[in-house]
Amino acid sequence: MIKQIVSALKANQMVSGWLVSETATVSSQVFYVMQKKETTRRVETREYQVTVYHRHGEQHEYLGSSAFAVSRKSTKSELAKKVEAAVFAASFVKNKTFDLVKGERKRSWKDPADLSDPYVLLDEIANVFFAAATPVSRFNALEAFHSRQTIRILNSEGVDLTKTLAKINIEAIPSHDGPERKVELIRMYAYRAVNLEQVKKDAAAAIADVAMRYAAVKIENVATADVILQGDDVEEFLRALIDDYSYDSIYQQNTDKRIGDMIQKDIRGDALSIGWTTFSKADAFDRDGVLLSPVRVVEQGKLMDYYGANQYAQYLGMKPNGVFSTIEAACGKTTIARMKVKPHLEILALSGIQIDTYSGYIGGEVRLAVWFDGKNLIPVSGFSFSGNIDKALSDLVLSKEAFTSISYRGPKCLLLKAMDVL
Amino acid sequence: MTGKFSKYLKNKKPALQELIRLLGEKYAYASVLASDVSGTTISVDRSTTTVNPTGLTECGFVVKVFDGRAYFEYSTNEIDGKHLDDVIAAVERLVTTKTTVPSVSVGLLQETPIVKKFNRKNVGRDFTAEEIIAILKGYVESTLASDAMIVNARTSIETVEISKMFLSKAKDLEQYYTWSNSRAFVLARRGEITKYAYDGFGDNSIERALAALKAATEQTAKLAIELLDAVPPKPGYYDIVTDATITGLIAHEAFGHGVEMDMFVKDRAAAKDYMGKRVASPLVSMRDGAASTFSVASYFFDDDGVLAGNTKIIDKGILIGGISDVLSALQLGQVPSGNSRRESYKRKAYTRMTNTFFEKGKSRFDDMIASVQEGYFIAKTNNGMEDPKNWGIQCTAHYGREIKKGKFTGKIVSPVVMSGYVIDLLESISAVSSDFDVIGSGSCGKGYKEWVRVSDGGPCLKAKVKIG
Repeated sequence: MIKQIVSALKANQMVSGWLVSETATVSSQVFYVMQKKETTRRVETREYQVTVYHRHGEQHEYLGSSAFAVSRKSTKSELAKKVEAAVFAASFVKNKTFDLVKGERKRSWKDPADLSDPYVLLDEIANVFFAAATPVSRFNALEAFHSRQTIRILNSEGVDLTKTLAKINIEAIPSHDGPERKVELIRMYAYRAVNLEQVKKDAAAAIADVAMRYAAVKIENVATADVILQGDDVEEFLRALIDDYSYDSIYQQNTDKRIGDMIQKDIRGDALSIGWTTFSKADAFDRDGVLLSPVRVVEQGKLMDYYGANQYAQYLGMKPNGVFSTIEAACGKTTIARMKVKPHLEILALSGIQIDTYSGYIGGEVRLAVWFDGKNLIPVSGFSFSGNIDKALSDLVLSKEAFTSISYRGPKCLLLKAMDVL
Repeated sequence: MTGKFSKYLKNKKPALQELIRLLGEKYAYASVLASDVSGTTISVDRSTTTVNPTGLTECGFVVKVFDGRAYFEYSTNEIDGKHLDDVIAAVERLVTTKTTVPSVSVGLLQETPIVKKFNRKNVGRDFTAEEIIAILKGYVESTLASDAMIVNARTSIETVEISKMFLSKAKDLEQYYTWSNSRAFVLARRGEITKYAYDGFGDNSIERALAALKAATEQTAKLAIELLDAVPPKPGYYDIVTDATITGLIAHEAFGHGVEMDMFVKDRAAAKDYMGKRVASPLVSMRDGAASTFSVASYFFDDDGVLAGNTKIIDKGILIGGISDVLSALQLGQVPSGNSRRESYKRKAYTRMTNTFFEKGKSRFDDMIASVQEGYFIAKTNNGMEDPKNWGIQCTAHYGREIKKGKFTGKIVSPVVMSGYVIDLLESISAVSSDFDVIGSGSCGKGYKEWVRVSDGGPCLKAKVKIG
């Protein structure tokens, strides 16, 4: 199919450049209800997205573009019509001109192939989760996805790159039925390769956490507290802090910060170093065909570089470093044990961390936390915390211990001082 | 917009019917959902224009079979009439997958025979990309020229046409319908303070969606400038009056997810034990359904071939019903409510909300404001997260206007994060306004994934909530 698409693009003389992305997905999915198999699914698809570029204007000063999807086999004339419609739309798009990424040779990368039958693997994983159940705690729902995706990017400037990425995603709902009430948590896991020992630890932790939610009480007589975030919430927080420093965000003036500016004021705690990296060797290029190598966006609290897509990098006169999905941050010097010496609230489950960098708000509804009052550890639930990001950044403490996931490498915990608790 | 059911799917129909016949020789149940969804999102801001396929774009098939023990689904975007054996072999491989985990006990789907075609065209005329870009650009330019504090403005329209076909031994259904979503986003700056505002709405008419976007963009620009003076609210318990978007957010996140009956099957919803019991103030009645009102989720049949429903969930404060997909309804011994929805043909169907709202009441908005001693009028949905088993709330409004002694003080706060216990909130509702609006521009996830388009709304509510 890709040959026919390229042929249709080359046949239209109004096309100044083009980019084709082909995505082939094989996904095996099993859905469990009350620890029994409910539905088994298989997905096999091959889809394309085509971007047509059209140079126009009296001085050829504009590079318009228009994209369309090809989700099924199409005839030569259908493809020609789609290309023609895209050229027509692009001729009214008056964007500043830029160069498409240039390619020198065909290259490809692959995550190591797992030779096991995906359904056997998912069955093993499900069994590990279910083995962690107790008479009162179990997984009321478990969804397991094994996917392997091959993405090929071709453009009119010689880019021809292919990557095959594999991952396993699990959504688990640990639940605890007690004499007084029933409680649950939502836990999401993403694994690049299967390590059943890690799965076992995750399952055990999920069951322990939900049992703790059952035991949790209302927090009382605590108006402010140092809050310890962990794992995915740390990732969300750090991701939000650099969200506005992409090339397009800078070009669109979403922030007034520029390279060299401090993003942390009056640093009394740890200085932040945050950037982007790839989650595996195979994750080697972005949607434009830019080859990816790690980028440091913030170093010691100072904005050092922007990041993002080819088009906007060129608008800013910079060399594009690409669009990444994995965030990387430097750890601190404080151990988690040290962090927990003074009274604090350790958040184990939020309904979703709320961060608005424009208003400086950070907070969330807490589904499970442990309150340490200086003497006792008390599981607590059903309250919220909030605070100001700028103030929190001045006194931030990052853990020495690291946490790694498909989308994050960095400190496992961070401490936000003096948050309001309600 | 073609105005017609997909020619591609029409051409595939004989092959799909033959596939069902062949699968029916081996399996107790076989069906095919065929989807062809296309559309474009055109977006213009101060410096760039983009023309992209809508994120809803899809074209593919879900083949579903029941082998007497469990259900299996094979999703593919290629079914060739000459190679049906390939599909049958793929289904066979799926059904014979090795597993050590026992299956749930589930029976055969019973379907009532039906043959029907539905068509709902875009109202008004169609627009070329040139015309849309010119209109959107005009709105952006006038917004940027309206105030020096406006740093950027973005306007966009997404136009979608949806063709779906559901075939089984008993069913032969086809539907074609369209929808358009307009959106405005404005960024304002004064000194070191930067704030944003946004708006979005949907219509079954590109013409009306584009026309209404002008005033929406102007209002969004005014709000963005106002928000430069906003501060976060002081955490505490307040009386609030909601706009229709926040009413919808409460209906959807706080309660709606809890009556999705696949959650009953998984013992994940507290509502299961509250049927027939009081869950809200007697002023509260709530509905959901693709046929309950006209908005973005107003399809004719769902992704399992069940005709659109209109379910009353809460009647005068009493929980009386839930919504369901076919598989959950089968396991619960209920009649499915037409709420089976998939993110795309590549995903499983779950019970999902469609158009969800509180019914209107009799109070006047002005009287509701006048009755607030200290609180906020809170508006514009930002996000929310459900907790159906434990009925925790997290609903975030983009802003609130302070009310003291029954009058607006002119102070604006942002963001407004509400939390607490669902039943406390619903029981605290002390007034429901007589006006009514359902907004169809949003998307909803189940947990943290499975995004589908939904609408929600209703009247303005007066309630007491925890903010902070």
